[in-house]
Amino acid sequence: MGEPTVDVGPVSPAGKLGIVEILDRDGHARATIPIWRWPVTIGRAIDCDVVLDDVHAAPRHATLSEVDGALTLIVGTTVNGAETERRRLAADQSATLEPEEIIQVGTTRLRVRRATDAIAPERLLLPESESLRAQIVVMALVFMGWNAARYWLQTDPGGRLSDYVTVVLGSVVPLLLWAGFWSVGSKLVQHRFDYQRHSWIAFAYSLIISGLAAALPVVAYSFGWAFPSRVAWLASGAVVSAMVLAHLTLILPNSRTVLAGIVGVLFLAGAGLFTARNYQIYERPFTELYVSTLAPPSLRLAHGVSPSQFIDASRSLKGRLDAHVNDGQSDSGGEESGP
Amino acid sequence: MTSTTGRRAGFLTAWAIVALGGAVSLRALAQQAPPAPQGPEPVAPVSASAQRIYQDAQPALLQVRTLLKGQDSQASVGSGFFVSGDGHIITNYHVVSEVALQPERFRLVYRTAQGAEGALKLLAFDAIHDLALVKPVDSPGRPHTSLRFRPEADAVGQGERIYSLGNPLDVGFAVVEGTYNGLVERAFYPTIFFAGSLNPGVSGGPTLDERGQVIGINVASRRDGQQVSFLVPAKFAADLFQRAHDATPITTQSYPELTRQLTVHQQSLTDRFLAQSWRGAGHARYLIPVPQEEFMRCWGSSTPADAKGLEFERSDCVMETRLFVSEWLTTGSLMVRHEAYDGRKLGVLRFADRYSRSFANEALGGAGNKVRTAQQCHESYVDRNGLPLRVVLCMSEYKKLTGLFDAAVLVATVDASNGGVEGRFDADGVTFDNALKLTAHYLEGFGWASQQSTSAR
Repeated sequence: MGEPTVDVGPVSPAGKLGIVEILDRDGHARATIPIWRWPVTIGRAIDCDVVLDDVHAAPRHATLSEVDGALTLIVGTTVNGAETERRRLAADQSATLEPEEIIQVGTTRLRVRRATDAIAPERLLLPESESLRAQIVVMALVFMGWNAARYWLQTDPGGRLSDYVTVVLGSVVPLLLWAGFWSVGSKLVQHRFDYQRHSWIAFAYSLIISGLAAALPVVAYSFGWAFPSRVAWLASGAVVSAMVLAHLTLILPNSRTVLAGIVGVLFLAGAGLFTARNYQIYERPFTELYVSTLAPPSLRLAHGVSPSQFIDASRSLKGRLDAHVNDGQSDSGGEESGP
Repeated sequence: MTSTTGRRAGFLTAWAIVALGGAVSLRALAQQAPPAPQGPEPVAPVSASAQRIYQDAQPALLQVRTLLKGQDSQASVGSGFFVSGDGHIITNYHVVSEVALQPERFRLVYRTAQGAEGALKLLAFDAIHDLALVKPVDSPGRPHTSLRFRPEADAVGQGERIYSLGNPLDVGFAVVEGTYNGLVERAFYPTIFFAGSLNPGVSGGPTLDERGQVIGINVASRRDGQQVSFLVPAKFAADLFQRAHDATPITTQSYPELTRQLTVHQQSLTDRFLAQSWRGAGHARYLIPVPQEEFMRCWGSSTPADAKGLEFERSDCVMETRLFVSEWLTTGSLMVRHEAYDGRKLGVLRFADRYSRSFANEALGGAGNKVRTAQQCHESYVDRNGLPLRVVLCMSEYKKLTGLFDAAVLVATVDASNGGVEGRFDADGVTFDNALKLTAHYLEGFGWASQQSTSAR
């Protein structure tokens, strides 16, 4: 597409009435045409106010006008029609436009701003900040320390200090790569790498996941509740979903609601599939059979029941087992060989 | 628990193969290429009596073959012998189990040492003692030569020469000389210890005394030893014959009867086990349930003295008696084991990590399959006279053995920050109520060691 011609018409006594913006694929204005009078004609014809270089546009494709103060799009003689954000318009149809509503003519996207439209408030620029950098460094250190501690916990006394180097680097490098991956997404869409902010998300959420994975089984141990330990994996999955959503929102800030919906639905679908699979294989919703975490005794708050109470409570197992005792039995008759 | 089970695992495996008896090995044999040449047999001097006994008994001997109905190929082979002129034949339950459980797929035939063949019908079985009573479908023209059981009152002496007959590995009828060595120690049911070789395929064959009387029925041998073989005492076969010689032949799946017998077995197992008191493990802090070695055998092991991390002492008590149900299932057995941990070299947090991982490391939680449901667990803290325990009871239910369950109880002491005991009790093939009784009994075995000394005084 070539540069659209700008028709400098007679200057309105009221000054500039608005602008027509021709948008690029990222939604930024590629060209801006001032409006000095209504109506504004759009099409491939040379005498149009906004001349398009677009083979899918008609010579006089559409007209923008003010009808009773409302900005209106009137479609002319065209086979392709036009589109607003809310509806498709065929030839000779018209529609009022909301402020900043994007219209499509052929393959060209246009946005009209009138001088009388309210201007959206200035959006806060998220700058590369010193405090953000400090936060990332602190979180990275905590994360490294956490992983070193976990390694310490799992090894016997007398381990080599050099082993910790691998563990510490091995924990941080994947996160930095992860942040880099999302930064490429930001670069493609937002034209800024935004590595710092993606790193912040990666570290913050990874800390939450590590914390949850460690804390939930201990809570289960402390209170004698099985549930927190059962759902530890699910909780981690939810935090990972939230982390992905945070990355995506940074890349596509205007689509937050839609993205949240998609990620939420995917998470629920994944959790549902996982539960269904467990039911099919293990005849229970969670993979975990029992709480195996045995934390130090000082963390235990729950009191024990007497052996006879335990036995009485165990009687409920019978019903749970009986419910599945005929599973896969119905086909036993079918196993009999034919004549 | 930690996975240092090398010794025990090897031990159990050896026994398990034996318990499956001839059927499994022979099945492999039948499906593989012709058996490799065995090399020259050691030429044992066959005594004159062996020769005489074989000659006398040979007309009563036969091979019992299980055939796949569709293609008439043999699925497994065992031996058997006539016990009545009418043609009643005694063999092992595990030789005919496929016909008992899947009569629509398998059928039984016999072949005598003279080469006569015919179809067999299954009259009855005794899964507890691994015996079965079968009979040719066609009635004989003349009475069969049969073997007599040695009267129970006429006790066999240790070292007495006895002769096992059968068709080992489908090679041909054979007589094997050995000695009677009394009953197997710690067996749940009386089992004769025969010092002689039993090979797969001789299952169900008779073992005779010098006078040609049946004293036992070949049933199993230990793969981890030499000439350590087992016989079912003849009186159980005589009982089965008495009880069932007029029985209607079995033509449908025998799960109800099998279940009835296994239910009888688990009741006597439960009663005898509950009647026993626990013996202590000698732990300084805790009372830990360790069973009497009346029908269980215990093995101990521990970490090497110079171990840097977690130290433990382990005890594994298993019953060597397991009842054969089918090739893929043996049941009716108990197991008790524990590990006593000392984590003083590790510190509180590291000990908690090891102790948790050990508690997690249990072979539980399998998927449901055609034999059993998946496991379901109940877990809670249990206060045992002031000793706090974490207790998990996991059970699964048999699908075809109606009313029988497998139960596994996991127990961990949770009173100390750098040491503890993790125990596991397994009861396979018991009723739900007995599973709970046994669980309660097992929990009673835990407590403070100091209380034991108090009550002893």
